[in-house]
Amino acid sequence: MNRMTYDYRLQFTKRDKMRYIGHLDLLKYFQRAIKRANVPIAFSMGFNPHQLVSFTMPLPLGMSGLAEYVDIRLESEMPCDDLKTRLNAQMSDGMEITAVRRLREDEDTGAALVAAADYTAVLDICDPDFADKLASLKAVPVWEIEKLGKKKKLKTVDIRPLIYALDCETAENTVIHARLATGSNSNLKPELMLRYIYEKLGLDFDYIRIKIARTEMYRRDESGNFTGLME
Amino acid sequence: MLDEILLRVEKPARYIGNEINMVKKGECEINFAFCFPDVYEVGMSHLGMQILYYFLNRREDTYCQRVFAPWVDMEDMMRAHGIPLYALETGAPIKDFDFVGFTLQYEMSYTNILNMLDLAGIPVYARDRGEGDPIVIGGGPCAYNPEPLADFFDIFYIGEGEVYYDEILDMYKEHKRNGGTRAEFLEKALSVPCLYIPKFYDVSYNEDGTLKSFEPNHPNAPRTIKKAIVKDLDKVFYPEKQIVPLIEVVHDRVTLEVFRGCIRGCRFCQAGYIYRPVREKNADTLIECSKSLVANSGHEEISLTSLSTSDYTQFQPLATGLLDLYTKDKINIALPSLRIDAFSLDLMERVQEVRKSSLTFAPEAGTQRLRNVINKGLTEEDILNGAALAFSGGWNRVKLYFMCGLPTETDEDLFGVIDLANKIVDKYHEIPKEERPRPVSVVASMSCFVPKPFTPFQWAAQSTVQEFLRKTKLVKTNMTKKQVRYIYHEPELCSMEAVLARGDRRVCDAVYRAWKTGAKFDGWSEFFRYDLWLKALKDSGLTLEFYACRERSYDELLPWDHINIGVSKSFFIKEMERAKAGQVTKNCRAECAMCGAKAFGTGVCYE
Ligand code: SF4
Repeated sequence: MNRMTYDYRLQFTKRDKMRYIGHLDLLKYFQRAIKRANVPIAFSMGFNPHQLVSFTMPLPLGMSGLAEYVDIRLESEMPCDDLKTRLNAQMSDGMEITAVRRLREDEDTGAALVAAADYTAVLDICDPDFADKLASLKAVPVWEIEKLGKKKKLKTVDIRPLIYALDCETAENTVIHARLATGSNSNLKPELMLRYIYEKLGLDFDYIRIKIARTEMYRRDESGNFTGLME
Repeated sequence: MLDEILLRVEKPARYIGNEINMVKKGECEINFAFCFPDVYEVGMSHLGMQILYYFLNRREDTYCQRVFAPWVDMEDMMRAHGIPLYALETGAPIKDFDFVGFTLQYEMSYTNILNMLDLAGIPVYARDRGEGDPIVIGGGPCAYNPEPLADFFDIFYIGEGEVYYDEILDMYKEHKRNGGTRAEFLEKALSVPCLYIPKFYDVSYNEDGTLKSFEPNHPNAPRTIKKAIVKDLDKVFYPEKQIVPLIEVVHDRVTLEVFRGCIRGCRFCQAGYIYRPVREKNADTLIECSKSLVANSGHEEISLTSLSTSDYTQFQPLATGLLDLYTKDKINIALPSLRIDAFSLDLMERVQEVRKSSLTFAPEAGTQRLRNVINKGLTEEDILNGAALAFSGGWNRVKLYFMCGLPTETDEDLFGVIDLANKIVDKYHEIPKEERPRPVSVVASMSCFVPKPFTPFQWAAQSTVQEFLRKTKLVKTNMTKKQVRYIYHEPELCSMEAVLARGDRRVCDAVYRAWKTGAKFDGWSEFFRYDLWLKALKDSGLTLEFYACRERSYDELLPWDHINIGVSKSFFIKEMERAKAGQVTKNCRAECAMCGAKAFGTGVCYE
């Protein structure tokens, strides 16, 4: 028998104070919010049943998320608006469900689909020539960094192919916009890219002084086009 | 600035508030900072704080906000950047609050109190505070002997908070509106019977260091301060919500307070006397209460908390009621401090997931003789039968709690500890081999006895550190069965705890010096600095022996004699004599021992 499933994707923000909550705590936070909201969540089978909740991609502690995703499975159907209102009634400041959609039959989870993410980084520097410097750096086709690989061995990797887009704005602040490979296949942390840029430009790198937000996540089709996970 | 700092410390969520069910308010006339002098995860697990938080916040004119001791990394950052101690709800510095209240849960948190005051920019000594400084008030179990903290507090509240806080806050509000001074308020507060205001009392000492006199120096200061207790627990305020932390804390669950007090009267246990008489809540009230708490928290576990849950007269209906209500929602029921019998095992079977947790027994002493001395009504037979019952039900892990250094203890009692642990192992092996798939594991944990005020043992001498070490070593070398694991505690810490527990006002100086030289988080063994404490005592002209290891005589004036908990001193003397004679005193339900608490006109004394 083919059992009907009711899968939903929630898009949410995680910012301000809620940036300081780590991934495991976030999971618990959601599980409890779901319970308080009386959402008919489905449970896994087995000895230790747990709610069927799957986050697309953990957000590093301290980073803001403006379009984070979590997929949940319900026992019965629920209108998306209803789901959104009920859960939002349970959210703390800094966290809000911004959109909900029912997943299509056989649609993969966000975690399986995600291929890229957009990041915005407000830098702690003030250099009128930064845009030019970044442009010339961008022209270099290979960005090699040393990374601790498996078995704790240092290996050299080229991160340039993992950067799908890179721009900057130098108005009041120096802001970098980047689209980076994200997901289980290939993944580039914004920290690594920023460190590379800082080092190449001879700047002091203190990650904590840079304010980073993840603003959207995408899947990518065969011809390389990006589509937001809410679509 | 705070933002950047938070990313440089461990667990930044300790310092942000913003939890589920946190109270948000606009401007209020009275601002109350509720301080727990330990780290966030410990403080947030404390039921009393949750109750008082909502109790105070139910008043429209009052905003009660929470404060915890910042962990050392955060403290360093705050000091380096000049960030004063702030409350989690609004981030406002607590120096600007009307009241700064500390809950005194254990002696080894005293230096943290001083540290928090200092970090807040509030003068550490009460006498140095002026207009504009908050009123610093202390409550909780350690307030029953307030003397070792008397110099640092403006007021101590003795007893249960729900009784007089409304009166105090109303009084304060009027006082504030009329523009009264700090000193005037403290005088007015003398009219509240459960408040102890140290500055209105003078102390003098005999040549041998014992107390000579303890006298009020103000005409309105009462000679004794009477603890406040709630008469009817079914009618008293209980919150419908609990703050749900955003990070993992020690106890993260719905907590139901089933009753206050304890009928048992173990002679070493302070909690067993200061909360007398036992007052119960109705099972129906509790079940109702649990519904809103579960709905408002989303917690996965409900825990019954009381000193000895099995003594609850409506235990069966409550336990089965909760199980019926919540099993289908996959909410676990935790049942701490249960006596092991057929019913409780059956219950544990129902509440437990596949893996069986360990069984806990607290015989406290190794021989029946010593168990009679301490009035622990648990016999070897009870323990062995309970264990046998549990073993046949599939349990294989047992935890045993003992105390070392109890009054009248001899080495024979210590060998009794080993005997008992071994007998439990043997009991397991009585089960046919094919029915015991896993090996048995017994953990025997031994702590050091600390004599506490308001117990029959308040006059007793504590063992010296050397004696404790000899005794724990004796047990260790003779505990030879490989199935038994033996754990013991640091005697140095326990001996300092004994100084603080029974200290007088002169101990304030030692607390101050210890803190000044760097003592903090003393309850955490990785931070406890015995050397600092010994030096602090010495520099204050005090000795550890005088406070910890000295036996007092019945006619000595004790530093806490001005506090009246309802249980009479003559009862404690009688109990101490019975202890020496190895006589057991029955529990309140079996036979009233006329302790004096009946005067409160409520509870088990009238059942
Ligand atoms: S008066 Fe009797 S019943 Fe009441 S608390 Fe004391 S011993 Fe127990």
